[in-house]
Amino acid sequence: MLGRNGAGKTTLLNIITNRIFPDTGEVLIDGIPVKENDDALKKVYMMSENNFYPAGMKIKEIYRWTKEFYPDFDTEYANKLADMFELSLNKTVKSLSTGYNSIFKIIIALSVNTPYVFLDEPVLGLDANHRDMFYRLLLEKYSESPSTYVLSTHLIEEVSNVIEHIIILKKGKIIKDESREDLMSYGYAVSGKVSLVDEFIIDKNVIGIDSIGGLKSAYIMGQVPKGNLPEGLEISKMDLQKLFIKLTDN
Amino acid sequence: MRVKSVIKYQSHDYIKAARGYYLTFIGITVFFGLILRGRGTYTIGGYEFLTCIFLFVVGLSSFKEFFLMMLQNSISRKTMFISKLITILFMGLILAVSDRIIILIGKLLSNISENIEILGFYDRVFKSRMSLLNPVVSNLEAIFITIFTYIAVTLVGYFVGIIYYKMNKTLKLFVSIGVPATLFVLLPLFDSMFFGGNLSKFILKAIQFIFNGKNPYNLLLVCVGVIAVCIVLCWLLIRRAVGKDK
Amino acid sequence: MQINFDNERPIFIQIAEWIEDAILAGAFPEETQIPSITEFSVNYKINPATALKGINILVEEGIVYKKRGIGMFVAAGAVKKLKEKRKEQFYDNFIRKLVDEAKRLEISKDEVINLLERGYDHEYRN
Repeated sequence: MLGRNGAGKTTLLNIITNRIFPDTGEVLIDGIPVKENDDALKKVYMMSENNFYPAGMKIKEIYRWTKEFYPDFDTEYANKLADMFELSLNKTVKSLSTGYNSIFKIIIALSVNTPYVFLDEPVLGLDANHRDMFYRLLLEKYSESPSTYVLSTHLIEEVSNVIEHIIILKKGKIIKDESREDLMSYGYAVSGKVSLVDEFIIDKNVIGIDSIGGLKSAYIMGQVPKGNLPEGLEISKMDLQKLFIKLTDN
Repeated sequence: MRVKSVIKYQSHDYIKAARGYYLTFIGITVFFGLILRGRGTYTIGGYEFLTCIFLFVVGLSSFKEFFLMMLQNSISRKTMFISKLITILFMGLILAVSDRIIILIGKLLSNISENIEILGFYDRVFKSRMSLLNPVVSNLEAIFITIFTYIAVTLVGYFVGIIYYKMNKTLKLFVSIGVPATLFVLLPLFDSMFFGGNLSKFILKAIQFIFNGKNPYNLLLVCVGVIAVCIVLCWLLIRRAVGKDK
Repeated sequence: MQINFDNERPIFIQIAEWIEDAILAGAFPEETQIPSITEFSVNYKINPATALKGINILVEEGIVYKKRGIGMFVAAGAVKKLKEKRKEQFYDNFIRKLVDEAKRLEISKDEVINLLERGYDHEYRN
């Protein structure tokens, strides 16, 4: 799930996990309304940027209680991950740095084994090595388990190959909800002389324009046109980051 | 099944707090008992009052952290609240029994040593009632009434805790100063200015009614009333409470 | 094992091509096992569905096949098949682009042929 700051990513996740209430509408999980419903709620785990764990609690105690509330929590696996990330289980939540605050929650998210796992800005404060490790572990876990993982992030470049499906939020509304392949297949850029580009884009769905001097690039949503292009125009694919920026620009 | 887990989590906290409370109490008693040996008397009158203060504080401080932890673990507010009530009930029961035992031991000690005097609040207030009944029945009755008192006090603390959670900082400060100021300054002032002292007379009468030495069931009635009101108000507040950012 | 994904083409196609290259280079001989979907996914930080899609292209073409419960194996005759396929694509992938660029730079046909010969000579010298 992608969106700019303030687009409503965390708000949506908070509503899904019954932490706050929607003004209108309802959230269903496997067809069951989730609001105040323990049976639906136990299918979800949300790793949030904000800390909801008691500040004075030791990480190993948190893991013990997580096992109590989520019986499928894999303590052994969690301990293994803690070892890999060099997280000391005897530390309390409040004594952890921003990075390790994310890490101890990432570990729960990867070990909790609920059908739906939501991760809100999971790599916040993580260094490059730990981020790399996280994505690899997530993919490994995802390959081997049937759970759905929802990542909310604005670090698009990092996740663009990792994800399978993309939801883009803009000002509280979902503006795109489709597979990564589909979304990527019909965004492209066309560049060339201003006059040529202007002529080309007349009947196209243009989502953004850059121009330098006499050159112009137009970003277009739609299938790349088959057949020959007018001489002097060049077509290139847009990467997810570019696509995202153009879609969510004001 | 989730209720069981939540009760387990909640009582873990409460038991830890209660253990601390009793250890501190016993520690202080032993300490003063020793240094005052032969030089004076260490008296605790109205011992249950201490427990009430402890329970009020426990109730007060047990909302926020617990609420957020439960939200994090996908527990519905309904389950949280039911578990909370059951935990408070058990806590009241256990503490009422333990306190009665402490008071009885205290009595025993007072008989042996001149230095220590531990008196129960209940025993003092309802002295005439207790002298009417045989010791077993009167002590059981004391436990029964104390349970309700403890539950009521904890719930009042809990209720205040939720209100505090829901308020922002300025409002919190305002209430923290405003409520005591109203109770101890404005009310007596208004009383003398507008009601000609009738208000304080009424309050005095109410207190006399509640702590009627011959009839502890007035106290019980008031506690049941307080418990009912608190349960309704707490639920109304929790039902719409949201996980705050910080 | 490193793949530098470009943004021009879908990742699953690039995965398939990378495996093809590896088979052609002899890194995965015929009748040997290739890495699993999870290994591809974790190693290259790509979604397992993408890796699966890439490998499925090769399965459809009969380059690799699945042994139930064990994994994916390079088919017998895969190298030969691949060479044929690549030869077919050679004109589209290289010659057309070469001619287009030559025209743009106004390099004559003869000059191109000369350059080609130079390329071959260069290679032989090395």
